[in-house]
Amino acid sequence: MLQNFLKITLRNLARNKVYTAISITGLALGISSCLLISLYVSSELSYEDFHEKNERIYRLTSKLFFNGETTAARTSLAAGPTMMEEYPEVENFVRFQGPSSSTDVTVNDRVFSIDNLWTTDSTVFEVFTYELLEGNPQKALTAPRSIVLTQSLREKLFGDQKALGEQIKINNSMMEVTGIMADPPDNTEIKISALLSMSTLSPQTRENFNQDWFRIGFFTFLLFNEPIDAPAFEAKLVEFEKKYVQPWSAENQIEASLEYQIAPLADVHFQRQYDYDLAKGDMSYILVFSLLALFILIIASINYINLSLAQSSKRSKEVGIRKTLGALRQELVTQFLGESMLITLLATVLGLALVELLMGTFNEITGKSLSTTSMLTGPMIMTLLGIILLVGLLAGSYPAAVLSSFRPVRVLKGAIPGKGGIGNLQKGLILLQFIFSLFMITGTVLINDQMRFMQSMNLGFDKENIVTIPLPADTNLAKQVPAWVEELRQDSRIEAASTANMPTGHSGITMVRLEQDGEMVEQSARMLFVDQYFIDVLDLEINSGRNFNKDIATDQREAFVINEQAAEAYGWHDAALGKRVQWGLMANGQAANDGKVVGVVDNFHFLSLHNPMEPLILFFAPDRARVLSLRLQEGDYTSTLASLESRWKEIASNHPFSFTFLDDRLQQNYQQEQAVSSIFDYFAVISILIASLGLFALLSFSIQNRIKEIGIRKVLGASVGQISWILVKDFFYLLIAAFVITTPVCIYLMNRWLEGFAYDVPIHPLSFVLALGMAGLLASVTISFHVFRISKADPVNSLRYE
Amino acid sequence: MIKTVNLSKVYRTEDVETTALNQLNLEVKKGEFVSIMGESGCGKSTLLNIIGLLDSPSAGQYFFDGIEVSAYSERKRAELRKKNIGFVFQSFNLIDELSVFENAELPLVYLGKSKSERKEMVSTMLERVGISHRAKHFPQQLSGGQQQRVAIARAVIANPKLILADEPTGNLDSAHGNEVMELLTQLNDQGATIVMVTHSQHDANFSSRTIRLLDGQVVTESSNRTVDAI
Repeated sequence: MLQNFLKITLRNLARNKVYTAISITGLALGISSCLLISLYVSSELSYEDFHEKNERIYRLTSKLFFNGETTAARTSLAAGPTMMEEYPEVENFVRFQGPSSSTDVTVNDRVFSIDNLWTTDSTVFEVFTYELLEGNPQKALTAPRSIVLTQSLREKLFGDQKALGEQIKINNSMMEVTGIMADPPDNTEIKISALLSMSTLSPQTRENFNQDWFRIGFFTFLLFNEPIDAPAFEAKLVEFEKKYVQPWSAENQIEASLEYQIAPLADVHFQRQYDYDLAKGDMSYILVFSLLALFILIIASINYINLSLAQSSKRSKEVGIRKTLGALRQELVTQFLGESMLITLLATVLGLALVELLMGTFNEITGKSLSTTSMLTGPMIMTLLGIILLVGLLAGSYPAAVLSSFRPVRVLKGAIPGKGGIGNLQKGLILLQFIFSLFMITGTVLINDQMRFMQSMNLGFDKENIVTIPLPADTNLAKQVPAWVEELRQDSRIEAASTANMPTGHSGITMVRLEQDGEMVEQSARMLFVDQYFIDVLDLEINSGRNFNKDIATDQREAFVINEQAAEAYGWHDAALGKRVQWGLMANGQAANDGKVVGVVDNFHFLSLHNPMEPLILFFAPDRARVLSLRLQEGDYTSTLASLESRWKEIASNHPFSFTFLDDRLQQNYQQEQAVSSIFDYFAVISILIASLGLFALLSFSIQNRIKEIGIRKVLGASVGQISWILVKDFFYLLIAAFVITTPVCIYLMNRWLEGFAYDVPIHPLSFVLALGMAGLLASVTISFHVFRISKADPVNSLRYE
Repeated sequence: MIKTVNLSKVYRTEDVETTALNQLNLEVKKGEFVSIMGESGCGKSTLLNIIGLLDSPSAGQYFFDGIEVSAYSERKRAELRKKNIGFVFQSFNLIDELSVFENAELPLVYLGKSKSERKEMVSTMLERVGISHRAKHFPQQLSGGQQQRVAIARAVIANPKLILADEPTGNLDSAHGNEVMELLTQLNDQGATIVMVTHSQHDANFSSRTIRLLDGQVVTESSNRTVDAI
């Protein structure tokens, strides 16, 4: 029986090549999109799950109340060990400081620049599951100046040579390689290339950190002896704060308090509320992408259903005969479901091939390094089987129910149920396809609007033609930088040159005291340390007062330039000049830097556009230069960059030369949105392609079924236009209905998405019209092929054919 | 074999009620070859469909092999059908996607016969209807007469008690039509009970008895064997 079904299925497929191709291609596209998205989602949801003790590991975070509230992903150095001492349920802890990026590593006189260098406790191998390939996990990170390299960094630094026990130089200190660890999997936030022992920090540094409960620079993970009730433990931590932090604050006369929070390791990747955190996942994108996958799958399944139903007139005779010969309805249902399963299976094979083909592009968009082998996990195989079953049943059950219900007496007589126009159910399904497609097109248009808006928004400074060169922390180099900047300023190809402690797009938060109503009030503020040319490079406008001046001796310690936002936020308004600012606060109420506001610059977006305009304080500190920014003459940069590099080799031969353009760097702030936008673009195109294929095939069936009607109408003098309208009017109404349904949903969802941006594009009605126009155009192109065919056809043929 | 008592079939659409069979009484004995004739719309095909358990009557009783089956569920009717009744249609109704062999094999598939058994039975049957040389061909590759022979092979392969033929020669030229009628006669001679609906007096002459219907009722019955003898 099975063989018989299989035979007839395959022959049916072979006979209706076009429809088979459309069904299978549509399903394959749908399945491959769904698989790619599933891979992405499962990778996001599996963060840190490779740690064997992950159910017992919790991340400690701190909320700092200090003239306002700062929610930090990090804690002070003392928190972890003190909690382990205090609470027996805390079995172990591990802290991470970092990651340092662009760190110079010298091996056998060759200099490499490495990222993701962490300083961590020796307990790291007890708490987390990192595989140590060489070295002793108990001892590897105990001694000062010990470093564990990942396998890939080992290869980069040492090639085939032995690395264990070798010395390497990092920031002028020699470190001993005490271990080689396997590269951690992709699904972790803590990207590692090397781990440095915590004992490497100088005793002085450690002492300073240990003393201060408010110096929050360490990620702290606690390992409990069993999974715990987080809120209950947090309640205990309130007491902890009273016992340890409060007395210290009182002693040091700091009016501040802390609130500790813990979260299971598995949740950490989606905790977006913390500052000073690592790159986060976004649950709402996971949901949107999952929905996207489901939409595409439904669109593809609808194609299959519609094409099966459209072919029902061809299959009805077979059903009639089989029933006459005694086939039971359930046997026929089984047969048709089996067919849809077989088609789904074929589509899955093709879909897997497509996944392999598209993987590279997909990884590029999402910034992940997924591979088809990532699918060989239990959950992914279950997902795949789930998809096959879901699509097979979703697509197969309705046609199976309809076809198996045909009554032999009627169908054998030639009365084909549903013959003629397109049935209500089919219309409903097409409506659903239109809704999903319109949703995707509108989403794509709106997301692209926002991306364009952000790219074209006036940032308050000129981001073009600026190249930034990171300056390594190297005292020898630091001494030469100011002279080099002066030298560069003489170069005609360079319009302006300046240094700062951070590249534009970033800023640090520090504690300052600000004059308010005659009193000095402590609060946190964003600061950048710059030289006197910073304002020139970014082409900022000085609103009032003056720029820093290196010739005024006191500027080095006592001058501050603020932005307009700061003048407003601190309540100084137009009277900001001369207001007192203290920075480098000491416990005794003194400050290392005590000076005045000398200038106010116009606001500029020194942070990504996710953030609203914030107050900013610029401090004149050319000695803190960590990044050199140059505004180049527009044109060909090649020769300029080449001479920069050759000069670099003279003054910083032991450091590799690297540069980025500021606009590229700023673009990276929107990487996640860019990825979302690209994913939407791609999958919108795919879903529309599938829906168009389906529409095309369905229309051709509809025309075939109505060929006699069309012939008669032609004979009676109907024009091609009139006939076309009869054929397309249903689709047209469905498209309008879909538009009416989709628009409010899109407006709601887009508003939710745009809430994530401090600056968002107003949702323009034209975007919706554009989306409708695109959908309409696509449908028209699809339909016009058939219309053209009809207009050419001789009516007699169609009558005779019938 | 077959007995109907006051069998009625009424078709209802929204405004029209059509009586296809009107209290029809009929009996066909085992081994008989009966023709049913009448004008278009007199209820011939309806009667055949009810006899063939493809349709159920609106009123009256239908005894198949002595059992009242008019109230049978579709499931029971399907069961009865596949074991006892073979169908031959005017338009052959072969499945285009299956070969001659596979079409003839289909009833055996539904009866759950083993593959080897099926192979043997089909080969014998195709031999018997003279189409074995076309076993691997598909319906479209055959002439009408050949297709109808395949249909007959399929109808009788499971050795049914009753063969129902709905205008079996309607789509054939006279030469092929005669072949088919001779085949049916042979089957009848070998013991099969046949009920055939036809428009053709020529074809009806092959049967032993002709029943004429008008407006859903039997109007005349005549025996044909005497005619044959002349």
